[in-house]
Amino acid sequence: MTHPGEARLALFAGGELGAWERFRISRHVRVCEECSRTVEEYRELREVNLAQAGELPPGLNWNALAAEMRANIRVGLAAGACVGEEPRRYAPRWRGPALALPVLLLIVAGWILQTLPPALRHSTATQALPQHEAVLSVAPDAPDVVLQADSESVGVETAGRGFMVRYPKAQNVLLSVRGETAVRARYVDTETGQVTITHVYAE
Amino acid sequence: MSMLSKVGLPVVLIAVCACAQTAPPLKINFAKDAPLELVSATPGESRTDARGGAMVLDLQTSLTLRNTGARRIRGVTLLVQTQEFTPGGKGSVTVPSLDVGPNETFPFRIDLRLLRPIMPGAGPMAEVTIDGVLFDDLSFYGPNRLNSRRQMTAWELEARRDRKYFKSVLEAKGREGLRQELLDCLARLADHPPLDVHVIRRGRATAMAGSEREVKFAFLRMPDSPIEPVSGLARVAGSEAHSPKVEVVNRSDRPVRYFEIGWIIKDGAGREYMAGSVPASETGLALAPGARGQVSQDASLRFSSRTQPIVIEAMTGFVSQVEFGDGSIWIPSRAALSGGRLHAVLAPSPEEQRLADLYRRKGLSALIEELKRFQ
Repeated sequence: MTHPGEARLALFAGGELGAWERFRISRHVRVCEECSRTVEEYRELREVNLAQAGELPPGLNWNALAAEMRANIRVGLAAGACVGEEPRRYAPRWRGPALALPVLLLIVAGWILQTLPPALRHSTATQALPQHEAVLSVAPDAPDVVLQADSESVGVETAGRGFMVRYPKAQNVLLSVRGETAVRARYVDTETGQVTITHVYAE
Repeated sequence: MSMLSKVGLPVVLIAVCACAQTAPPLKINFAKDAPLELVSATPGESRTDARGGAMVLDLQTSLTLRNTGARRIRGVTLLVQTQEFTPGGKGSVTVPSLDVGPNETFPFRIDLRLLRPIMPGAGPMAEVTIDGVLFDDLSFYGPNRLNSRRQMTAWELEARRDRKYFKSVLEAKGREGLRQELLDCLARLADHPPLDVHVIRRGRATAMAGSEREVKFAFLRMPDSPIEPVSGLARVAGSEAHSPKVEVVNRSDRPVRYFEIGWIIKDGAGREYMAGSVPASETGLALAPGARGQVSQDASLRFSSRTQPIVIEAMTGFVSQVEFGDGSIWIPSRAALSGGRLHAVLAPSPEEQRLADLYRRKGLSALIEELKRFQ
């Protein structure tokens, strides 16, 4: 003989089973003295609980109580996380590529910008020569050639590209211009004692 | 996704960029038949720096060169080309007044700063080749792309002129007389006002069109000059001058293929500066005896001194160099330069500058020994 479980007997005692389950268990309880006794105990217990329930304050808000319990549970979990081992985070397989993608895009964009026509970035390059004053009147569609000479270097620059011949160890630098195509600096190299003459040319 | 695609690809890209930037920075390329041999190339404090979207590369190299020819070397010009940085732009470093015998070595310093957008490039960033070597008999070796033969010959003639002058002073006035000459030379170097020059080819730089005016050249006459300036003018606005033109006539009995007009500017305070020279065309000039010719240039020149613009009030020109049809060179005599305004305005010649520096560093006896060394 198979006996119903404790939970079903308790639900039967409280009249909380469906019709079919109630019929089936009632048939068993009628022939089984042990289960009949258990059902009787649950019924007595239920009577006691109902008597105590009458002592609870009237108008109790069960929803508010449930929300408070959930909040307490969350606080408890958070406090436990502070002192306990960090739970292992879920790491999706695509996280690495997703992080690498912006870096790749940055590199590719930089590469593309480098290959733009230099005239587009003339002002940037001019800023890179801080010891010289910037040239203001450059026709954007014609790459002007600028020759410069000062006490530190002679140089040529065109559309963001250029080079200088420098003389950091020079004494008594003399500067001059040779026509429209060259600037010249003459000095004595303090290390070698040689008089040295540097030119830059633009063609 | 594999580890290579997750991490390797960015690393590879960065590495490619880095490798592209570390191409050999300086290539020394001397022809096999050159009378110079590269003994060593010692790199100095070379460094790369990124500024904004540009890369700045400093290259310092000290070369040691050997004279592998049979003649004494008087001057060397090395050509520096940076095709990737300035297409069409060139530089040169010349050391005149040398006296390097066969198989002797001498130092040669090259200090460059290169600027370009950050981008991968292939090959050397700068290439150094020989443009010319001048020997003591005024013979020449080299491709002469920069016309360094003419220029080094002129400097060598000036050096001989000035050494001869100093020797004559030593003979006539003794050591004290020579000392006074060198002190005068040092004073001219020290007093030479610093002049910053900004040249912009093709068109005006910043001048206001309304303030522009024509300024005529005044000319200093040189009795023995084969070329005589007749007229000249430039358009001037503030500290800028552009499109200078000078007309000359050939007073000699020989054809002239090149000449230069020295250019002196004067500011409002009456101070004069040696601004440069207006050269004739490097090619194609053939000025017959008695013929007239003209030099002009299409560029704007802006002058400043100690960051202050020099307001141009007047300009003076003089013939500074002439090359005849046979390749011989005329330079002003010492007598022509010593008198009057030119002496005050002109900077000492390269040889005067070298000898004055030698006197300053090592004294009069070392200078006299140096003068004796050159015959």
